[in-house]
Amino acid sequence: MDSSSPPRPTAATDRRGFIKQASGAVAVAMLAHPLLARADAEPSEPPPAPGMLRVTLNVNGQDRTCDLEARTTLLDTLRDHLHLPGTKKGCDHGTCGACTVHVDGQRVLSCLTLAAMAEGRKITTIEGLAAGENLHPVQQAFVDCDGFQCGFCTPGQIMSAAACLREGHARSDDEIREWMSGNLCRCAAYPNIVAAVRTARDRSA
Amino acid sequence: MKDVTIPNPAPKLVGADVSRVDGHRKVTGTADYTADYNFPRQAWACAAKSTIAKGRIAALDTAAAEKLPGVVAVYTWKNRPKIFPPKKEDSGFMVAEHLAPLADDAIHYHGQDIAFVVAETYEQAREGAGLIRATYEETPAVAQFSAPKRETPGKIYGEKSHLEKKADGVASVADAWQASPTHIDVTYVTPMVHHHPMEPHAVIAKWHTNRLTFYAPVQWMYGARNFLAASLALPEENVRVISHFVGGAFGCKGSSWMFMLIIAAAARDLDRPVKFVIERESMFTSVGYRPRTTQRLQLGADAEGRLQAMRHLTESNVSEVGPFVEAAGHRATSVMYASPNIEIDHQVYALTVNAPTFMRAPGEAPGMYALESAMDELAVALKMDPVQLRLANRTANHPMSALPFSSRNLEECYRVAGEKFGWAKRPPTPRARLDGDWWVGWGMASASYAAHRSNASARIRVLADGTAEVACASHDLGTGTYTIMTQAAADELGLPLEKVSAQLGDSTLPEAPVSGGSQSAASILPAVQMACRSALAKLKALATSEADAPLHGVAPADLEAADAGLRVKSDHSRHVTYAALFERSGEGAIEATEKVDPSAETKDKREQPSYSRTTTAYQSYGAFFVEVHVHRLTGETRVRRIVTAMDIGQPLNLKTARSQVIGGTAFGLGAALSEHSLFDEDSGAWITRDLGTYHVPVNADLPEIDVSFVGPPDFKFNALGARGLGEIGNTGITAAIGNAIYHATGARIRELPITPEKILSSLDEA
Repeated sequence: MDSSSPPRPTAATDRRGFIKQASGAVAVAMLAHPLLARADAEPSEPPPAPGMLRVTLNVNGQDRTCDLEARTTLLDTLRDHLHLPGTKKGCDHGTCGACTVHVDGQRVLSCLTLAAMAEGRKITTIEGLAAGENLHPVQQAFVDCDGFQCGFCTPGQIMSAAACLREGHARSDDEIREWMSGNLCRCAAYPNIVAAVRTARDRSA
Repeated sequence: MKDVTIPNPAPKLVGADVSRVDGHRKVTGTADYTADYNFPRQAWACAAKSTIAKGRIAALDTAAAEKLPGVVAVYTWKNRPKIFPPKKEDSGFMVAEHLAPLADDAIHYHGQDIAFVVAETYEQAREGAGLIRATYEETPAVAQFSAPKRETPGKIYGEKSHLEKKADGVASVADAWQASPTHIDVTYVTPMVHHHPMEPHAVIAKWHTNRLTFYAPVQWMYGARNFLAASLALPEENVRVISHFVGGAFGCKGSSWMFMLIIAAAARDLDRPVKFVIERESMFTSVGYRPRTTQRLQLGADAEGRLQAMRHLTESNVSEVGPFVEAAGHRATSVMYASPNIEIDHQVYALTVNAPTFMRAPGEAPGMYALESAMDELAVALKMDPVQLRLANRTANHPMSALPFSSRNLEECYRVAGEKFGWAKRPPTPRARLDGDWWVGWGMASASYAAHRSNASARIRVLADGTAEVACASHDLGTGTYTIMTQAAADELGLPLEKVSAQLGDSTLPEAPVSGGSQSAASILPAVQMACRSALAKLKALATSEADAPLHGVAPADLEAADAGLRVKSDHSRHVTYAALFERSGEGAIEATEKVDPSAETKDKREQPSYSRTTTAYQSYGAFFVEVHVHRLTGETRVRRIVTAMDIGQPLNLKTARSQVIGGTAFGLGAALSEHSLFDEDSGAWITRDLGTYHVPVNADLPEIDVSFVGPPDFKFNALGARGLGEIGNTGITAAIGNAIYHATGARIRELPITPEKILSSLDEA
């Protein structure tokens, strides 16, 4: 694969890797579950309910602990357990990109990642991208270039765009188009998304 | 944004290039879509679906689901919670599928909801739904497109299914066609396609005794409210529908769907909030689609290219449980070109399939594809330039009703877009240019969409701190409604944009019509203006009426809103801010609500234009020019350039207007090249069930799209001169791409989508 090829998902995000890792992770989680629960819980905390798994995730710089069914995806954990609904569920199949988050700096489809697989890794969501009140350059460029319409795919687009810039895959408009093609936008803000990525790149230069 | 031109730059915020006021929320993940909400004690629902198309449920085994830990209820036809499904004749809302949910053991289509499992968690609900086991007695489904009897539908958009006009002495339009010196007879097929907004439908129902709060992404707040109230036997005021942000709609969130009803009834039955988010695969079976059309076009012209006869004969499928008709000729051939003889006919056939519904440019999208493809074929037969052929058939009046158009600037669209594109350099013959392994072709087509308005109300509040709130129960589907409401109110009140906030997406706000038919902006902004003017009248009274009022003695008519307050028109130094007025009066706010009924408008009373569908036709037009490259060995098509000019009256916000045109264009590009919901004519099941097999355009599929707006504001239509533009972008572009592929390769593909294998097999023949 040469360096200008479109992105291959990381092992945790492509379908085959997912199934392999997921079944492994669930098995490990099931076996390790009582131990993990004892190891992670504060002495005063009651153990998780039977069948539940206590998971600690580092999200946007904070450790967050919650009790989950082992089969819970990272996406559903973020949205429904950690009150971070900015990350969106568009397909739950790994086909649309709306659920894109960063795990250890890489773009990952959170609908194809079990929460249990993300323990010990640094997770960044759309809520954690801005530095306080200051928008990330990609966020500001999306506003300025109208890089969205309905806004539903936008968190995923922005997380992909930020990674795309960091990866150095925004050298030309065609390269941006190719490397941003894993994020569907039915409103088709695509030309404006390209303009936003280009603008963020030029402003950061 | 140098590729956007505006003929009449507005002096104020309306018409300007303004960034969305909700942009910050959208880029930070804080815009609240329905499924983002979770409530204490909330349960989750998931549906089980039929795996046959027709028959009855012989046995439904719910035991395993009921025993699953976390499952709190399983609803089937045997224990449906109490509902009162609407009747066909009920009004105040739209229902696409006339099938009471969980009514009995009958199966009417593949993917019909047969059970809803409610559980403590999403995962449990989903597992529970998967444990429902049905056995069926199957009966034959009507799934073959060619099998069912063709029938004449009822009214199509208020018109008869057969329309005809004939010149004196002409026996039939078919005769006039036959007698034309040049005539063509061509048939086009457009497949079923699905909306697929990125946000799947979601609902959360929450009860407080007999009051329902219902979160759902919808295109018609009041319609959803009325549907729920009628079907749950509640007074309308006991239902509140909330939809602050809608993650795309394109028509599939305009009708109310029966699962909304089941979830609301389940929440009442269980006395706890219930949340239901449908899976992407259910977007194929449960929320409508665009039907399949077969369109026969017979066009006849004289030697100069003047149309002598046009026949546009359409067949489209409906559902056995949904009567929606995908008009075609009615929305295309009736509004485009001068011709003494025009015949438009539409027949339907019912399939065993879920109900179809409106999809972006319903009727126009397939109708303009067929008409504008046929016009290209006629130009070839006449050896005429396609633009010249269209210019030879220009008309100032509606071709069927003969009413004058309020404003029609189609020829200007051809000129502006054609010049930008460089159309004059187009080689007249196809297959003239090979660039490496790529055939290069240029094509064009016209675009058109009707202009609509409906009753709308809006409320304005000017607050003591000098800010204002504008509110109406409209919708922002990505269309920019929040932003243009803010712009309009800020202009009227002389406030900067950041001093005005907009509220919408709540059925407790003043009534707005369904956000469909590209009518929202054209309907609600006149109401916003009127409400602002009523509020201003009250503010002017505060400023002038009392003896010690700051502008006492000035006639209210001599005051205008500016700089966050009121000033004397003839002496701008005499100015008082709203904040100062409130401080003096001690009031907390001034409020005004106004309703605008387009059919009751009179010039003198409301400073509104005379809008009348009995004297005037209102229609938007546009033109697309496209360059495609088609690979000579693989048949792959890449669209390299798109230039469009749109005659939609006054664009209200250049940024969002351009985005809407681009979005419509991409919709048409998908229809042209990749979108096809495959339907199994043996089983009656959809074959494409995810976004991996249903190919919507991706970023790399779109070139730069050069958008111009031409023509003057249409002040005969409304006070803003704006006709709306959510849908016109998805008309004509599909034909322009097909015409460019013909020009590139010499291959004419008449069945969408134009995929590589169809091109390759035609290349052999070309």
